[in-house]
Amino acid sequence: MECRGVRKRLKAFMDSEMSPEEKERIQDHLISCLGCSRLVEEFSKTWNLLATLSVPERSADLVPKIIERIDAEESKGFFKKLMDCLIFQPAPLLAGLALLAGLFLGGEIGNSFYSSAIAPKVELKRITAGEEPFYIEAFADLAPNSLEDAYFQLSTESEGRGES
Amino acid sequence: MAENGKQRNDEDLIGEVARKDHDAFRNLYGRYQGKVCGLVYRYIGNQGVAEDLVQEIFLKVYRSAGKFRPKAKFSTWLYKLVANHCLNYQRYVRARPSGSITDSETEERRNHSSTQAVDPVDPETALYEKERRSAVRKAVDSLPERQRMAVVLQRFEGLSYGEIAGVMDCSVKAVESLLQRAMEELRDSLKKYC
Repeated sequence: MECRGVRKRLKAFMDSEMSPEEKERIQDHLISCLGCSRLVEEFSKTWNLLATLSVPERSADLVPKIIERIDAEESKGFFKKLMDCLIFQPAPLLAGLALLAGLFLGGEIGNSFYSSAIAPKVELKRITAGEEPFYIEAFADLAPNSLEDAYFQLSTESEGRGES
Repeated sequence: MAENGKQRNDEDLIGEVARKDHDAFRNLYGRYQGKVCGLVYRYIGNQGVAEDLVQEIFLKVYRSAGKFRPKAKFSTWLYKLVANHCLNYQRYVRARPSGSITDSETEERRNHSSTQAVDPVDPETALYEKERRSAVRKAVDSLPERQRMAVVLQRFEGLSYGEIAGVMDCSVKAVESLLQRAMEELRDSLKKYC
């Protein structure tokens, strides 16, 4: 085995986390390779140094604090469950309904805005001299027998006859 | 794991905790507080932060006791919970550039002034020991978070590569790679003290 391959597996070798065959091959390499065996020694010393990472004495028992927090959570259990049922759990459904309502309302507002301000107006032909022309929105439904309807009928009839 | 016929095993206890049995919870806490505190402190390096995290971890144990699958080993489940919580905390701290969470020198002073006897005969040795401990702490703190977790789990909890892989949700090969790279970095940082 070459040094490069051995050095990549040294930690696993030290921990015996490899097959017996591979372990034997590495051991054979270490017998003849001073560099790699020195590296094993350095790894081993470094690993032992970690023992100085001691744990300080613990402060007071944490159980009372934890139990206190648990009790506090459970005491507001009813209120929390109510909020969960009314608000948090149906939240996605409420959000979806709000979106649909918004789309519908937006459509209605847009429609009325279009109807009142944007829709092209059609000037009716002057029927009698002196009368001020008045306008109706194109494509708007005309109330039957209304003045606008009568004018519309007259104008379409006269256009059909080729009259101006 | 029952120590004798009368003592309930961990899996039974966690089942009782799932039914909101506070005594069972105290029992479990008593069994594992040392391990969890040690693991968290060695990983985080700050006693105050470590104690807060330990509290949060045991709260999580209480809240998610119902999610424990009886076929699994409780200690693996607990280690996983601890590892994830510590790693998430580390990422949270890293995302907030408000300075280091560990002050090795301050921690060394606080933790060891009362627990370590100062040798009046050889103050030089005592000073060297202090410096060495501080260097080890700094070297471990400077490891990338997953390498650090793998080192702490293996070195102090004695977990095998397979067990570490189960705790950290990765392959055995990945664990080997983490430990190998950690070993190389630690050796470079601590050459002076070896």
